[in-house]
Amino acid sequence: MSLSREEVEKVALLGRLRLSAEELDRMTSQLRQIVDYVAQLRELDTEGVEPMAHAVEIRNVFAADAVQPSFDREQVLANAPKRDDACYRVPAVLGE
Amino acid sequence: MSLTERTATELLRDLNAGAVTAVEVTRAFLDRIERRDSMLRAFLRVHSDTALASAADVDRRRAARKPVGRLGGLPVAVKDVICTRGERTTCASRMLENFLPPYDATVIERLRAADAVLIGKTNMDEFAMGSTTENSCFFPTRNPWDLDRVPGGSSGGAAACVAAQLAPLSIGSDTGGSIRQPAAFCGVTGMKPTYGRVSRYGLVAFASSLDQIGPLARSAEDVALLLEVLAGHDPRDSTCANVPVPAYTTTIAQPLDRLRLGLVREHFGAGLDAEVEAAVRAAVRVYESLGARVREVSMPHSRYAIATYYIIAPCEASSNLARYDGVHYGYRTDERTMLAELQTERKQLEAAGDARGLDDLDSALVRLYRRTRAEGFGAEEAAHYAGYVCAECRLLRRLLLESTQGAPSDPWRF
Repeated sequence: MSLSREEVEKVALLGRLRLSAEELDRMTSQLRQIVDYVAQLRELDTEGVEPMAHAVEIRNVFAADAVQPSFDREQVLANAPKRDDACYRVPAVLGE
Repeated sequence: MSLTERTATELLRDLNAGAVTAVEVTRAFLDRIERRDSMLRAFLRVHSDTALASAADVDRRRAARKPVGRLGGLPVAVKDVICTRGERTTCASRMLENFLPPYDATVIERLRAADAVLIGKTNMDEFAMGSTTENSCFFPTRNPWDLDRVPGGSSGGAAACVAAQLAPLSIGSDTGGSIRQPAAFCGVTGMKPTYGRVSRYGLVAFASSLDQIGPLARSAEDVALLLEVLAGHDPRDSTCANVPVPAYTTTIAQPLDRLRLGLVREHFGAGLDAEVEAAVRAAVRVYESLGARVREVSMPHSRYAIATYYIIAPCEASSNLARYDGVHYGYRTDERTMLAELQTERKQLEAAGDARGLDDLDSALVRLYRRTRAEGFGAEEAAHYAGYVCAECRLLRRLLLESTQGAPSDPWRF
């Protein structure tokens, strides 16, 4: 199983990343190495093994359904790269 | 012995006895940072003014015989991946270069409540991805024992500042060795606590099922002191265990004759450096001389651990890095340049009559995301972000766990 340059390009698009031709080459070779390396896991028989999502299996942590102090809107928006009153501003998505 | 040569435990004893003030201690470390850190570059930012102010506050309360917290004026350095309210928290990334968190991480709240003096934020590999601290977008940190060598990473600044006596205590984070490895490279004591022991609320996430915050210091006793303050349940991190925190500073003095240590046979195989093995074997003999029983055990699946890590960590990093899109906070690409670029590409495609190319052309928002990430992330983040998802890894995690627990008769099960 070897990863192609086109597959890496597709993954970059899906991840909304933009790679130069040189980065794409480097990334393809690095990702290929990683994928080939992890392929050794195929030797293992995982049939009947129960999946495990976390080392500490805490289940169903509930919080009391009570109103609690939250961040002030101004505080949260203070880090926005661009804002418009109480909204985040981004380039137009529709009607280009 | 100068103030900066003392361990945190010794300094705390002197502080509580009134032999020295928190301002004197803080100033001693700040002076040493001033003299030495231009070579080491362990710190990204030093907070001299706020540190001296909080030290003075501790001194006033101590003089007035009012209550003083557990750390009673000891300086603590914080890795720049942990949120400090109103103080820049960059993760050594251009992406968060100007990010001012609106809140303190739980560990920061705990440190402040314990009267720690927060002296500054330490350098790291960008987003905690790396093992040398060369991968910081600002500058690399050097190893205080030999400036031509790396301090390890990603908590390289945290380890180097303790080794160089620029801070008696520091906190780092560890996902796949990021406290333990730099602690080893710099010759200090560091530990990755058990998952759930320390709250991660306010720790910028890398791989959430693996990340932990932990202490670095010059002795096990100092690490015990700091962990006692950091540990404990926090409802804001739902994976944080609701289990009482032992008094580590007391239990550390207990004899080791009831302790059983497992030496993993598979970890002493090919690729192990002879000097490292000699140091580990020497440590084992010390434990034995203190009464611990040491036994060789087998973890047959351990050879798959790194491959499994390289699936789990990038998958989780991929979802955790998705939030850096230039919309809510952090870096955003220059929109004018971005729109001009799109316009040029569109014209070229139109001129060439390339209908397919026009169809595939990014929308302005998509191009904003892509340029923001191309400019804001280093190579390591891009590789992690381009990670892939695989359900298989969760099965492997179980296999690895079972190999550490073993069958009831297995010597690994104590």
